[in-house]
Amino acid sequence: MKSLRKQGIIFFTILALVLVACGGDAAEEVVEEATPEVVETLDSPAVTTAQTVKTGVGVTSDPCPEAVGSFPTGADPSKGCIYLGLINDYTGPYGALGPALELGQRAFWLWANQSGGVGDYSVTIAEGGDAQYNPAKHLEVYNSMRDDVAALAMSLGTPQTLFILDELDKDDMVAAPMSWYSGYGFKEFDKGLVVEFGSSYCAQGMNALDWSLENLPADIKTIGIIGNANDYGYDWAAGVEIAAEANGITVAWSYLPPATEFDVAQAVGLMVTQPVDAYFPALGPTAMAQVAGGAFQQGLTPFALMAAPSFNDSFVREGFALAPLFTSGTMYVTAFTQPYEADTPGHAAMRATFDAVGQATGNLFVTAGWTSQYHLRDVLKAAIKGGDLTRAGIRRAAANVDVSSDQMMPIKNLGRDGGLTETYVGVPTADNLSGINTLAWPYTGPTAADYDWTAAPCS
Amino acid sequence: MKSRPNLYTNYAKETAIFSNNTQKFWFFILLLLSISLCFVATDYWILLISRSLAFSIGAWGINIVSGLAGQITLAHGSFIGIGVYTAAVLGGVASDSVWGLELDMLIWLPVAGIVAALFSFILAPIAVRLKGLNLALVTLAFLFICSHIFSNFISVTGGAGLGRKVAKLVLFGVNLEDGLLIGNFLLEKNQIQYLMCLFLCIVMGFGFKNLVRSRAGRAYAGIRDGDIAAEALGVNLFRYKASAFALASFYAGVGGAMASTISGGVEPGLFNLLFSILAVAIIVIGGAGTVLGPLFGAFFYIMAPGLIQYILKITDLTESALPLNLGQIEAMVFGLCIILFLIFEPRGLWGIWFRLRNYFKAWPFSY
Repeated sequence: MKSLRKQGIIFFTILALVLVACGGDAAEEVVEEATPEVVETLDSPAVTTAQTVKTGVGVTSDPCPEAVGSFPTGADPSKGCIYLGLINDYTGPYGALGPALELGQRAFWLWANQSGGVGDYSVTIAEGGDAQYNPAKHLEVYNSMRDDVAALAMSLGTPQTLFILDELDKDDMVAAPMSWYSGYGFKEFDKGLVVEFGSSYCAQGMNALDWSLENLPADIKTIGIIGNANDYGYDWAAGVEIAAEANGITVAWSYLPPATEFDVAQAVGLMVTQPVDAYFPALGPTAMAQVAGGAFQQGLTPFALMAAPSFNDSFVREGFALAPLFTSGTMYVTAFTQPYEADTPGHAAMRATFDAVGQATGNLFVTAGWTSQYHLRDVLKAAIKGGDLTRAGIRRAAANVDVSSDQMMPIKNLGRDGGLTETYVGVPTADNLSGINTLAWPYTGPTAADYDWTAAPCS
Repeated sequence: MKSRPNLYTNYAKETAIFSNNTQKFWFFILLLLSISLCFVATDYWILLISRSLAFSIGAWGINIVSGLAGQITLAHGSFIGIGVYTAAVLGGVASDSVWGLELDMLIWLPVAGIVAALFSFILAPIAVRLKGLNLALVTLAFLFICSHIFSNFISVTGGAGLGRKVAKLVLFGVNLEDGLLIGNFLLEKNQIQYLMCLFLCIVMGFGFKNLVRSRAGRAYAGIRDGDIAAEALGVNLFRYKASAFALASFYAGVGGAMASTISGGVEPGLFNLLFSILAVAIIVIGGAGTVLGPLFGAFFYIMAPGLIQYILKITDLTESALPLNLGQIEAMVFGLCIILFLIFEPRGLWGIWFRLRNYFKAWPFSY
């Protein structure tokens, strides 16, 4: 009897599980939201100039604090305040970059506030939270600030940002990324919440190869690609491979292991056993120096076209053993914008701001931090002009506006899928703060020019 | 006789989950407070407590194998990972790169534990033959193998550096991703997750408590205190060591699967050696071998960063005024706690709780 009861319980449990598993959501028809096709600019009639501005979370009529930490905000005490959140990494694999990025971002808003702010508001980035490049921490940091900020000045890490995308969606929280992944150019991918800036790794990869074919004093027939298995490495590699196919170039090898399993000896071994005319690394600075140094030790100095995060200005400084290699004319850097010394109004403002606060820096990450905020500023301006500075209003503005950056980057249309293609190419030098001399800007090679950027992300 | 709380007249009473009505009363009060908490706390605190509860389940797992059965393991993080990815495949959404079956939570949650438990049988024959440092080394090797597989098995994990989204919150066919509308009241997703974590934590906690007072629990304690003696007394070492690993892995799988739904996505790099050491550290700080220890340890681990931030805030110390950043301070405080607890309070936070409780039970008398 007891056994029969047991059997019955087991049978019904299994039956219940099967029913639950097979139960479909027939009634739950997903209705796709239509994406607005019309793209507006800050001056378009659709973005009306409102008399009163509706405000929401993260926007106060009280002025911003004079400083956050020890860094001044430049806020106007007679204006209200728009608070931005910051999900940064102070520890973990990108812990060294986080402070430099933040410095650039805070400097940008210092300058923007001193230059009149955004409408009747100054803007300040609240204390940043350390996500440690950990998705769980990322969400934790986001939750700690979601009730206090109008938008995110940065959400560092592509996977982490995508993991919290549903939460951002629920809160109508737009965020500036710190990655040049080609997927960010597509609303379907980022729900129109990520305010991307600059050309993607993919476009930069295409242009790196096209530019090298046009300009390097060598007949390039075979190439190699080195990177990590992540959005950065895959996107860059996809771009290089597309350009290689378009130009009839042989990709002899492509080494893209997970970051945790990256083996310098294996990368150098590929260069030794299957020599190439040029290689295209998308690494971090430490791995880049190890790979270039390892190859140099083996007597190999093929041309290298580096993705921007691979380069660090310390490579060219006196005392660094590989400085002669990096300044030998075989190594090149590609990026989404020009370096610190460039002659644009945006770069000039950045230099003046850093000079004023006594920060003698000029590396790529500081520039990236500064540049990342331009589009966010224009989105906030558009939201104010539309009279809706709530998060929903900011999101609407982000989906319907052209954004500029004082010529640091080309004008970008946030309303359309696709992305910028303009790429910077430079050569390492010890003569300036950024450690790079400009060779080409804005460069778009034939492959990137012919590529259909509205189809889908490269990787 | 009834008014003497520490007088037990039979063994069943002594080993009862609640030995007296006072305990039942306070448990009930705590339960009510815990349930009502999610309606008054902010999203941030709900998240932290939900994570603490989910981590407790995983910590009970390592408490079974290390705290109760005395087997040193550094592979606990791998079993958590196996549970997470099992849940992600069964309950997650498929994409171009990853598998996903979008099954109900009623399936993916227990199966996450079962699959992790099945994988633990790989370690079982080794665990019988080895102990101490040698066993630790073998589990370390297992961790590295799993780490490599996690990083490269893209269809399941999304691959290192990218990761994947985790299982969807669908229970009894009801999609809870956007919350649950009960009449006019919307129960938010994070509140649902919190209540689920709380429920699961209570169930698994009672499971652990039951295990401790069962034949298996006594066998584990026997193995921990002297495996040769235990074998001489008739304890089947293979059976009990294997079952300890299996049960620990089941807890790890379930806890990991539940915790992953809170973070939204998971990247394989998470399940590294540090993560496994962290699991050990949680029970060291909480109190190894005890029922409440892992709960205390998990809460301490999750809440400590917030506590440190709060202390810095009220003391008006900004990060720029400190030689270390917040993450480094957190790591140092956590490390320091491990050292201090091992030296001064080997029974961990539970030991402090135990002494505190006894003090107030006897108050105003010292003894």
